[in-house]
Amino acid sequence: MHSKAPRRDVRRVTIDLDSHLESSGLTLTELASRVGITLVNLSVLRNNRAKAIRFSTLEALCEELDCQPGDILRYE
Amino acid sequence: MNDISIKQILTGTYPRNSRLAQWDRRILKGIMNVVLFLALAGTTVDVMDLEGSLHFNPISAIDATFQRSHWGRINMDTVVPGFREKLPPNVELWSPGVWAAIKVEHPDRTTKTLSRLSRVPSSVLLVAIIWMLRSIVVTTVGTNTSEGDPFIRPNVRRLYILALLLTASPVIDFVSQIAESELVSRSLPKDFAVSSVDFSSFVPSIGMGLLVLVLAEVFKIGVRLREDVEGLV
Repeated sequence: MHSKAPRRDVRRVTIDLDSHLESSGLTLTELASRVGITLVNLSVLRNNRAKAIRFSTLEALCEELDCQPGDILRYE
Repeated sequence: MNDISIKQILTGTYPRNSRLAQWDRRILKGIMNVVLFLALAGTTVDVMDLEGSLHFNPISAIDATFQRSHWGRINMDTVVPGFREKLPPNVELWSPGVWAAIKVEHPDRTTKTLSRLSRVPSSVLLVAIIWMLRSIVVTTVGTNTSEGDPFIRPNVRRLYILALLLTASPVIDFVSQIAESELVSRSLPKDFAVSSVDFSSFVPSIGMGLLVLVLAEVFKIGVRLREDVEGLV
């Protein structure tokens, strides 16, 4: 039996890119280019509209922003 | 066309903005539009209680009729009394009546109503089914600029409606048959008509309805998966 799925409209894990972008001095376009995803997708991620994130994307973000996954992901 | 290989044509993997793909879409949409037009024309003819049909048979080759006729069973026991005794002993009639096309002369208001009732609901049902199929095909093939996608919520709704229409079709068919039977009885002298309702199409229709219902559920899951994938970064 599957347990009841959580409501999709309630975001509990959020992403904080802005503070890390500021400290790294990168623009959103530059970060998108370095991570290897489109600017649109990075905006989706930044605005917490993404439903899931690949480990490869997360790894690339951590690499470019020089941080740990826990630094950019927040559970609210 | 020149930049498309034979392999691409055979596997159907040619680019969607190529001329061949454009023709593919045009032909498919054209076929659906023609089918829809024919169904609408048929419904209009039924509503107006007209008929124009061509029959192909080996005797007269082409037989054109432009007068409304209804299908009913004629009681052979009334037409030819004692005909059963003349049949060879190894022949047994499956039904007491034979199918015949019955033309209604000088129909009154009730007869016209019955005539419409025997055809219009089925025709409207057919138009609705074709309309739903056409909408699904149009969203699936897409356009020259946008990719077609069958896994969208409107298609799930259309499939549910389609399943409902197919499941309800036996009921409409039943009503049509009753109306047709009553019409034939009114148009023939007493004891000539044999009332009958054919249930043979009920099981296939309900089966098809259930099949489309399963398909709708599959599409529903497909839509959810698509939404998940689209939200994946």
